[in-house]
Amino acid sequence: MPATYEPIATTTLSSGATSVSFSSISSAYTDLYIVGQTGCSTTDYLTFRVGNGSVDTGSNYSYTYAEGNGSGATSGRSSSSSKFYVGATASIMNNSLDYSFYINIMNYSNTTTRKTVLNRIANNNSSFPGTTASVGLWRSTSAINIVTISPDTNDGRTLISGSIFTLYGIKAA
Amino acid sequence: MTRIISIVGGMQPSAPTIGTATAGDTTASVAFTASSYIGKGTITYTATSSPGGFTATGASSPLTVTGLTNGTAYTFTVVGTTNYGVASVASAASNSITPATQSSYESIATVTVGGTSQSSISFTSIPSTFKHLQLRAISKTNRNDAGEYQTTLNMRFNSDSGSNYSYHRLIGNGSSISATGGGSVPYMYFYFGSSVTNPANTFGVGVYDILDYANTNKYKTVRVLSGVEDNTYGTINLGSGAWLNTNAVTSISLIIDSANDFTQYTQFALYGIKG
Repeated sequence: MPATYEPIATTTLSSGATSVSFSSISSAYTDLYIVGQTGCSTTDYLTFRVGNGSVDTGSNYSYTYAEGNGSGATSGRSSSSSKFYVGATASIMNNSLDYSFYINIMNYSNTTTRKTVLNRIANNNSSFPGTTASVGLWRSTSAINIVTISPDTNDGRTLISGSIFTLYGIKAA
Repeated sequence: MTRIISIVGGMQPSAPTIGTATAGDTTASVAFTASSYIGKGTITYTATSSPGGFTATGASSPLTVTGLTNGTAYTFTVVGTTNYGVASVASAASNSITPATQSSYESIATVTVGGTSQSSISFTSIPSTFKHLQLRAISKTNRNDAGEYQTTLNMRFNSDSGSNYSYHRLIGNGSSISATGGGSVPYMYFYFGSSVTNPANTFGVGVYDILDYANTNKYKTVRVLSGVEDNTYGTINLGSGAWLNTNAVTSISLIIDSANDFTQYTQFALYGIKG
């Protein structure tokens, strides 16, 4: 029986990687919690996808965010997106490890509800500093057993060396 | 010899009603309902373990018994004794618990709404053995107001229905940012949960941190991240709340604003975080 709050896996990059995945995630927990600190070889948004067996690449994601960048606060949203974006301008990575985030994936293994995520970003890089909170929906009732995190643009740009990503499982009584 | 006992001082309290014992690390928290007593004195309660006879004494529930051995099963009884030295009959024995080394983050209780909707959700007899509490939740409600795709979660502590709360919310709805708040109100109000407007299997979510909840020297603060998203509407909420009372939090009550109900598959999970 899993502990209440249990580290499942950690990935620390010793060199750049186009994506980081957590796969074959046990269904034994109630929520998943991902904590990370990262940057990107070319400025870009941090995005992630989820799925069962393989990540869903369809337009089955949506999200709403609120962010502040030191001079203003904004809110935006996107429907029928092909991935989760955790925010907008203040959620852009640059080539430094000054970007930290967490992702809550709530009730990820039940097969009754669509899956909702809650995210926070603290972005202290010199180019796009700010803070963001967002909520997202994966329009599927499938259990999630894979999460893939990557830069938005698929042109070979990478999450940089020294990035760290840890996946925790949280088990309710 | 006839011994005259003061009628006032000699009144015997009734046996306390045993509640739930909760295991800790070499400890147990023993909940009970106080004795009935028509005398003029005061009552002190003593919980006693079996085996071992370890005790804890205090004026109210719960009592924390220490010095237990991890891995050994215990039950507990409670006796109420007046300041005149008149003791009640012992309560019935509690449920059996086995103390064990505790992790830093523990699940305390979970409430999941079944086929019948609920107007409220409560967590009671919360042990004081942690540093912070965290509520993690998904929620659906039967709010059915045209165009309203979210609901307000009302939170209060220890059944305090006085105007002893304050709250603030920073809200993003996908097109604008707004802020609301209030003081001297009977609840902390947080946006949360989805309504009938949202698709049937779309739930709101929230994480609520109740900080230093057992400290009796400070007011209690709640930190909130919550939201709902349904591919048409969405709201992300950053919230804070305060209970202007220095008592330890021993119960949490949750209702949905405007007499709406929590509906099936809504789940609130309460966790304790060690400091």
